[in-house]
Amino acid sequence: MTESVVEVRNVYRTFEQDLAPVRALRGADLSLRKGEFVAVMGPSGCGKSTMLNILAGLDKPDEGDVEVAGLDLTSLDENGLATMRRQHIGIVFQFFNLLEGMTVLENVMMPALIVGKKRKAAEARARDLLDLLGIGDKAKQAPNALSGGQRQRLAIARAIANEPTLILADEPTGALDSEGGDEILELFNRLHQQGQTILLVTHDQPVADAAERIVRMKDGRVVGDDVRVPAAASSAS
Amino acid sequence: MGAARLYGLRDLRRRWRTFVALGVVAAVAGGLVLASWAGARRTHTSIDRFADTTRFPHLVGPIARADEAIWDQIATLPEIEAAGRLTGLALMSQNDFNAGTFTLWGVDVKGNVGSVIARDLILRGRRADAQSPDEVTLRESIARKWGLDVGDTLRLMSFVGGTFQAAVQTDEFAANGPLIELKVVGVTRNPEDVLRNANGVSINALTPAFLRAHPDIDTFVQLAFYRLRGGVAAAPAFIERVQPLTNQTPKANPDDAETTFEVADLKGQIGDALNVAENGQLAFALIGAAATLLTLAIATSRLARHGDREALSALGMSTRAQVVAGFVPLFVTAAIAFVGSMAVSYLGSRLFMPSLARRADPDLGPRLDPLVVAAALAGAAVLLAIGALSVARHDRHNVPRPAVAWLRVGGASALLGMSLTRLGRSGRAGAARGAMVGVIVALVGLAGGAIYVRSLDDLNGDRARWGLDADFTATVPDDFGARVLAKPIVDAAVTLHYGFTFINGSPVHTVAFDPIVGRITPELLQGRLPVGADEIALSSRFFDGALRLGSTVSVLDVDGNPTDIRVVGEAIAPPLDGRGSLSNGAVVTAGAYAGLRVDQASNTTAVRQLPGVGRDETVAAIGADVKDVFGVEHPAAISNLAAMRGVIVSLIALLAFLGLAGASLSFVSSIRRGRANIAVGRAMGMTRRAVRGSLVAFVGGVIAVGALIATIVGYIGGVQLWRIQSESLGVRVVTVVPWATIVVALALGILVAVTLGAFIGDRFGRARSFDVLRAE
Repeated sequence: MTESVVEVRNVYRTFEQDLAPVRALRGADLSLRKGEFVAVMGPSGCGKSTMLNILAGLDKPDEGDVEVAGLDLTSLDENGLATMRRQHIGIVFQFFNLLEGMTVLENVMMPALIVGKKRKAAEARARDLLDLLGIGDKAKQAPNALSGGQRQRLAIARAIANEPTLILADEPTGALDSEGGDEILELFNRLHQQGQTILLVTHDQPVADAAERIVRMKDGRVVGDDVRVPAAASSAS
Repeated sequence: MGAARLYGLRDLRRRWRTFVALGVVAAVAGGLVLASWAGARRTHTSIDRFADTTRFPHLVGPIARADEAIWDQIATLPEIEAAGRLTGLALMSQNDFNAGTFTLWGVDVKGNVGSVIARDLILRGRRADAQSPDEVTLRESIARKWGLDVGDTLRLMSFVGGTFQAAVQTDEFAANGPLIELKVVGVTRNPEDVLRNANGVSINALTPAFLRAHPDIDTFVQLAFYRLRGGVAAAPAFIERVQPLTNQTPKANPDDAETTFEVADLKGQIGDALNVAENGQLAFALIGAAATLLTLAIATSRLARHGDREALSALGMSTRAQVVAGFVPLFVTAAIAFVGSMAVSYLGSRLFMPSLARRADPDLGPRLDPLVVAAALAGAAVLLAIGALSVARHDRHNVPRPAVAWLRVGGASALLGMSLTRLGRSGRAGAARGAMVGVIVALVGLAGGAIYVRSLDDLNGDRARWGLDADFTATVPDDFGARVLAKPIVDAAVTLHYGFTFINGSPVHTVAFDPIVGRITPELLQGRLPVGADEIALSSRFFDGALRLGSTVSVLDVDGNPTDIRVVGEAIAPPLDGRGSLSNGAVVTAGAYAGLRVDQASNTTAVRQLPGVGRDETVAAIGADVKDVFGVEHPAAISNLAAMRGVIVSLIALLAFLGLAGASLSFVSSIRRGRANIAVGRAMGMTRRAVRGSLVAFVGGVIAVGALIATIVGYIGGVQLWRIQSESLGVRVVTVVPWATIVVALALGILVAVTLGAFIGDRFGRARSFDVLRAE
């Protein structure tokens, strides 16, 4: 049986707001196996981002169990979660969230430096990734000099720099035009074909169609889970 | 323009606290700078204004011939602007009698003294009514000494029947006239009261009505006061002309001396001391203005750039309209800065004047200087211009400069920290640069100020550098020389002959050192001390022009004829009795001194005690008949410069306030701009400790680089400032660099900043990354 990468069981998360508590997750369950490309869909406020936060170890559930790469996130302290993230998680944001004030190359070197790699090794790896993603000639530029699609490719290069167990992508095409969005989905597919586990959050059906499995959320719970042939794969066939 | 005004007002409502705060900072800092400048300007004119207001006499001298026709002839000479003649009265206060001091009471029968000449400044009360025989004004020094004030009664003993001259001869005063009671109606300030160290004979004028009411009181001297059209510079020529008229011609008694005049060179005596203070104030104003403008420019520039530029441009608002929109809230800042700085300057200019200038200022109220108003207006306009430029400049996509390699050794934390230094206008590092400028402003003040203050303290404590390496001066018994040669009761002693000689037409404080035992010599700055009667050493002022070692100067000899003397050195003639200045004096040999024409000639003996022996013990060893023992007092220039220490410390505090305020603002702005970076770092797996490390690297890096630059600039600035100050004083340039203080202060500053960075880093490290990134 394929190794499990994510196990979320009966997770609750409530945020205290001024007027009333917001119950973001209400007994959500989710599991991902290694190499899966899963899209999480649902309307705004359904708990997608909270789920992403918890899987990234940036937030903790009030109740329930969360395992990522075999690690029980609820038992880890802040430093443990940070270590988990640097070894197992790569995150791609909707609005790129590239590091301002650093060059393109430095942005991609950063994760490797965080795990403690030598500068030369980090630089070599970063250059390889930039070449792989077609922005090798932009290494010395500022991120804000790149186009939207190029910035998101840069964000993906940064996310995969440490060969993470899981890539978490939060609306990765939300800030791009359709051409740029297609480029990114194509990139995710390539990564998926190379065995990368990907969890992509979106409310856009065509984007979700790129995944091999679509998990639907509503009111803090998983309400649907469809395993399907991804659009890219079907069009390829 | 409606949209621009609407946006500007909305921006003001949204950020009014920041705009007001900037205005207040500008008002306080700018006000202090302007107050210092206004104080310097008031200081510069204080002596002239005092002299004009008091109708200060340039010459005072006894007049032997009381003949009215001759006096009328003198008083109408074309050189004379005003003249008065005071007749001394045989009056004595019990206070003088008890203290062994002397106060001259006199009357000008024509009423000129006190009205058209020597019109002392009224501090309290009013002038005496010329028609009232029992009203008197007292000089503030006498009023203070005798504990009298307006409304009190002054009692004077009187002498009649020619007994006073005899009493003066025998030093036994037994008043035989009526006890006179006068009502003190005012307290005045005389030019001599302006000088801290003035200890000349005090002269007080009574009303002409007094003499009419008490015609029997003995008179014993006539003093003439002259105010010259050409000022004190016209004195030598005037003396030559008036001498035959004031003197008894032919002399009734061959022993009668020639009339000697006291050249009352108030500006010459006080001017140098005030110049020193004025230079300090101007330095404060200049450095403060540069720091204030720099810091405010950065803060204004940052404040003027709002985040809605792209949105406004997208709406079609022109750059010009956006500049107008930016003006609206900045007008509030500029208005607060203008009005506030004017108020601070109006109220504070007198606080920035040295005490000498404050005493001399005839109108010591708050004052608004038109030039200062113009400067404040210009400062406010500069703020607006900077704001306009900041709004008008388009952001550009700039490539961040590659991180400095050695900063990468700290790994990801250092790299993230470095990225914060490059945030701002698309990699232009605006905020970090602002923080660094703030750090530099604060630390330049600290380093430069510490060097200046420490060097000042060193000069203040080293009497040899003022020209007299002795512990006290005294009038010693005749056999003093024989005694000290026979038995070592002092380390060194020298007889000092001093007075005013006329060098190249100007009165110059001149001192001759006549050694008794040991070695006390004047401070030599270059060349050598004079050894022959035809040699002279001059102080620094003379070397400002074409004069060099080996040049000759023209000096009046004892007969009043000019004679050439060769300049062989640059030396300090120590000011004595409050006379002379460090930069304007001359040193000659005792032999040369005897051959020169000297006004107000005096002698004293300077004594340096044996190591470990106190003054009382030394004085006792010299003998019971030693008199007039005075410690070697600081020259006015040194004591006034020492009084400026507070101004320099204020400057350091002002720069530190401005710098730290600017740096803090910029650091906060920089870190706030960088919170997305920090959140991304956290999302990539950086621990809170690593985030702290980034902030420490950022703050520490900026401060370390700023401190390095500031130390170099501060060192050069402090050393140069002290060099200029020393040269203007006329003393040897000895710079003391308090490295320990500077290093400790820098280390403390870095420690505080790094701790602050760590604290802020910890707070940012706790923030939820996704929330931060979504908020961005």
